[in-house]
Amino acid sequence: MSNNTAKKIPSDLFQPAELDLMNAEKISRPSDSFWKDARRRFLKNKGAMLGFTILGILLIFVLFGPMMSGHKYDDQDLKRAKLPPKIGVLENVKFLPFDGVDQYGIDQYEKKKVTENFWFGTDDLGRDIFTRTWAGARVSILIGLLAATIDMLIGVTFGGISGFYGGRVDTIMQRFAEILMGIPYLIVVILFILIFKNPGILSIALAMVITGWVSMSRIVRGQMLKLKNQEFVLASRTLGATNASLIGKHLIPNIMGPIIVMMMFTIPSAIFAEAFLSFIGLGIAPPKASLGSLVSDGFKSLQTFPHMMIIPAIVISLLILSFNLIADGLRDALDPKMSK
Amino acid sequence: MGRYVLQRFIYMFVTLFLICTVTFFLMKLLPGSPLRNAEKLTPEQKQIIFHKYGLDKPVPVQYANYMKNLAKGDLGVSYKYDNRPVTDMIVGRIGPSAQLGAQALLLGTFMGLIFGIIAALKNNTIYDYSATVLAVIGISIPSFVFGAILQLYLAVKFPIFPVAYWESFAHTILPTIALSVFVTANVARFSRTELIEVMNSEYIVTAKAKGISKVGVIIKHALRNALIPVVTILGPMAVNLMTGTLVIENMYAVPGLGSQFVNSIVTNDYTVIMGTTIFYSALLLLVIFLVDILYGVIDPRIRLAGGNK
Repeated sequence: MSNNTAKKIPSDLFQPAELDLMNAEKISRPSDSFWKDARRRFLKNKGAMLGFTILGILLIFVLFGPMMSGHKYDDQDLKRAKLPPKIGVLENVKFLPFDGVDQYGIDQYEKKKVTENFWFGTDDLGRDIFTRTWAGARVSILIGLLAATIDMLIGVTFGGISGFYGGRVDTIMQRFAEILMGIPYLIVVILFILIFKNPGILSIALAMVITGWVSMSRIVRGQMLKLKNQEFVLASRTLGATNASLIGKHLIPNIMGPIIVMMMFTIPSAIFAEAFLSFIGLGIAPPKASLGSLVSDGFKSLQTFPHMMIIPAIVISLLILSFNLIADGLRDALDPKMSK
Repeated sequence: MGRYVLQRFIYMFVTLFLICTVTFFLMKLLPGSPLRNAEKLTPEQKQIIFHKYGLDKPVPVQYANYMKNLAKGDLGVSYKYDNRPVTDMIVGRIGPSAQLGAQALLLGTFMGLIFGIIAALKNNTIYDYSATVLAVIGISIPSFVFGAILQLYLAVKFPIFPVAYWESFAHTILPTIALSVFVTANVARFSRTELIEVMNSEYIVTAKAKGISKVGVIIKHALRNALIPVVTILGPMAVNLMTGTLVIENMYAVPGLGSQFVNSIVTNDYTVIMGTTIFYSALLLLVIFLVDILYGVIDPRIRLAGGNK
């Protein structure tokens, strides 16, 4: 096909191109920086964008949800206990479970003479599940963020020193890390949580960090070893840069990508770990709640009042899912070689 | 290879020793008393009980005694269950947990491989995308949420399977499925990536060029090489199954090690907590050790680089 069209064009239409050596290598468009390139790849990733949207919606509710219904997370009232969910407009939509009717077909709101609507229902002490779910999500996200941040600080310092100085320092530090790596993560977390009698957000996050930072330090060390002998570092060293400024100004910025990806994977696993702890009775102490403790409380009355468990379970699943999707997308965007 | 095995073995041993030591001293720091009705006892009665369990000796002596007994496989006696030896309690409970774990591992690996292979062979089609999406969802939803949903819909609302307890094979089905979801998702993701990489390598092109049938190429040439790295995720898998059993066994009232462990945490039964922790750690260390060795044996390329992930 293309051969035929080429033959049809008369040869006198062609003109010799001028060879301009000065402009041949001219860069005609602005060049993309690494971060711009990564952002473009990230924005093109459908999964990551979906995760971003879900997380955005969840965050709006996490920030404003606890103030929306007019009930505090620890307001108890046994007269309005165990109400099923009821939402103003949606109560008329048959297939949605927001009509205030329990699974036996009884309208609990009528029976208990409650005029107010509880969007996600109430728990066995009459506390508003809508407020508790979002207040709990706040706690879960905070634990995730805290654990990831402390992980990052320790991991980057340890891995950075180990990789940068190398030699005997590296050997000793790596032996230490290797032993910590062998300790099963959740067992250590359980043991440390047992020591704190009423664990709060900080102590739970700290317990997760105890062995959690090792994987971050390994990644930083690996990158450090790869980068520290490259030309730009040697050049900077030749010009008299101190070790501190080499690490802070040249090396760490260049391994920001893997660090961010690792942090994004730490957040959902910390959220999961906290939920797991709540489930075996070691999580945040009541009346405060996390998503994990809500799911675990709700499970006790799963057969009679399924909404108490299902709503927080959906929120925690969406939360972990969105973080995982974003982390996957970031990994693909920041390190195209790692994906596929 | 011999040196590598020895090195790994020494690491495993040092780690285990460290875990035992840390566990022992952490238990000494625990708040609360392991004694039943502790507040009703007179100081003399307490003294007698402490003497009986060797708790009146200085902590270093207690530590030395504990480690000495540990070397003999003696984990002490439970404070709650009338002096039953912890070792017996663990051995007596391990059956259901092991069965659940093994079933979940088998089912998960099998399903994961099917999903992974389909996704890889139909790369960038609707099959691939749906398998990838399912895998992300499977990794994200905690096993206890799956467990609860399965229980609610397949046992309570539609009574197809028993709700709980440990009596027949039918009782094992729901907890096995709940545990296997994570394994399925992980194996699917991993085998898909590996298989896509292998299918693009030159020896596969050669095999195709020689005229070997598509099925032959996949089974004889591609799968065998793609599945080797899947062995490496066995370690994290074992960790996950262990944590999964803690929750799932409680949920389905399975008389396994996990529910006993959770129960000992709730009742402050120190020796049982300690013993089970050490047992779990030893088990996981052994799995990781075996995976490292196995990986070196089946894939000669890794032998010198060391199996550390």
